[in-house]
Amino acid sequence: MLSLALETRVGAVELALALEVPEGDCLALAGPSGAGKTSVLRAVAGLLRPAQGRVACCAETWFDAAARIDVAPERRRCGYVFQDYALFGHLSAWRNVAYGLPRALPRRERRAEAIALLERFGVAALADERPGRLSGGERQRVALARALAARPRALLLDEPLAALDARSAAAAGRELAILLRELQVPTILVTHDFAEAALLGDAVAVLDAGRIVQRGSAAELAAAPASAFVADLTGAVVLRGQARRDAEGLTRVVLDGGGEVLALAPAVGEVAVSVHPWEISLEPVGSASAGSARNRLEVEVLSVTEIGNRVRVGLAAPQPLVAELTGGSATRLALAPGTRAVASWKAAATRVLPR
Amino acid sequence: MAHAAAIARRRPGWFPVLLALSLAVALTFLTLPLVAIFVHSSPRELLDSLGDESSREALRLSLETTTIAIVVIVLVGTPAAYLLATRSFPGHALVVTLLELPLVLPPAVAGIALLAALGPNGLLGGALEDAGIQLVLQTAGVVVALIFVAAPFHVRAAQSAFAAVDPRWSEASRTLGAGEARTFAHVAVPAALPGLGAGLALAWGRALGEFGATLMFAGSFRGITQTAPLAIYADFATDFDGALALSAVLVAVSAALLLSTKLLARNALARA
Repeated sequence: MLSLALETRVGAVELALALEVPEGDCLALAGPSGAGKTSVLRAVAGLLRPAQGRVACCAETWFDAAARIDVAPERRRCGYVFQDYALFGHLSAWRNVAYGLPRALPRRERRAEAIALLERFGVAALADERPGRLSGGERQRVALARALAARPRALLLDEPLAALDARSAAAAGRELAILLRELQVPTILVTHDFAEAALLGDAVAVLDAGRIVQRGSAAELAAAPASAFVADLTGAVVLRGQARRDAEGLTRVVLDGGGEVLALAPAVGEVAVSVHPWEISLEPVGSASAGSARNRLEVEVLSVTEIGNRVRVGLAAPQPLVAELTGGSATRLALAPGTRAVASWKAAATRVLPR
Repeated sequence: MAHAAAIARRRPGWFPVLLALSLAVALTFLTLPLVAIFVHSSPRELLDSLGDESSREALRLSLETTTIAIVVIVLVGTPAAYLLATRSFPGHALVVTLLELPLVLPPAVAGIALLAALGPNGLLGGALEDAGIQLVLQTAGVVVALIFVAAPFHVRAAQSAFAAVDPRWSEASRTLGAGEARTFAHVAVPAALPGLGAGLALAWGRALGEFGATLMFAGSFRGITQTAPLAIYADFATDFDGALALSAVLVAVSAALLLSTKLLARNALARA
């Protein structure tokens, strides 16, 4: 179990949070850049000394401001995968990995063990290459192998996929998910991408301006975001407006900039409403309202992006929207930038959030 | 018409010509004296001059004293430069400036300053005398003068070499179980090696050429404090050819040192 409670100022961010990560679990710390995510990892690893708080791992106290305990980073032994991987440029891949191995091992065994670890990540063939000659994906694997070589008691991953291009990031993400399931140490993973957090984290904590604003499973966060900020992070469409109760007992939200949206949950005053992109469907302008979708907004298509078998459509309305359609319906509607359409979704799919 | 315009556009402007001219002037002016040394003395004369006892002695003394000075400079200056490059503390800029001051000190001032500090009547003169250490007019004094004038070159180069090493590397090293000393020895120094080598070569070159401070602080006694530059100065009025030959040897030794240090640093880096 890795537990921490921190209170400290880092640059412009006032960090104040408490976290617990059980053995073998991976907590994904998600939030925008500048939220203080990396500072949390640095405080756990001992690279940053918080003003107040406590860090403990496996019944061992690493930091306690009150008791004046501050264990040096080399004695904490956190496997830390830095955002840019921070591989030693003057050492070959296997020497990078061997760096964390126990020093008592003779050279032959160090090399064998380092190569075995590289093998596990499928990059043993690159053992004698310098990091400068490796691709981003290869570097990431060497960095993971190096972090695990030191038999870490906790694993810290700082945006492990951010430095990769989209194709390698998807593959590396799947491999990392398998690895994290096998590992028995508590892991904290930092990411600005909610999809990555959902893929890799057993739980997700959302960090905003140094504070944890919501914590739960990725599904819980997507289904019931506690605030407009969390909804936005999960990739949901967030619209802002003024809510009032109408005669039918529904909540009517007049959107800032024009348009109106219906929701079931009661709310009054300044609110944000959120809806998932896949709950929004598009119809040609002037078509009869089909089905039970009560929310209809006239929009203009801004962009059409294919992602696998789905199509993400950027829409301009008084406030921007995103719809996610199947490839078939996108073709049927002949969507292209400049096309006008009607975006519709059910009142029940509209969540009302505090702003 | 279009053809003429194309030709006009391709004509080189006056500025590149000016740049090339500046380089040519600089190159000629800076290499001409060096070339003259070697043109003046044939290889045969060079070898003959090495047979001359006083030249050999001066050269040996130069190599000995500069080697000792460089070892001291590297052993003390490298960790000091690492501290300056990796930590900030109140007065950091002041410390850096103080360490760089000898760089701009006129050699005569450096000699006087050393006398005032370590001479028989100097600041620490009494303490040194009590400890039985004599520097003035002694070989040890030459080493002290060399360290004083050459150390800033190494410290400055080493500081910028260490500052250029990615701080994440040191942090990664710490999380992988290496303490500060091991991180310094296995990550910071190897990564900064080309810069450290350059600093060492600069300092060594400066020490080999040291003249003014040595003359004032240690004097010019054959076999004890008369290094090669001092011997050249002592000889040139009476034996111009001999002085010229010794100069040629000194140039060759300096160039060889500069080159081999750079090559060694590069090879060490390639082998790791």
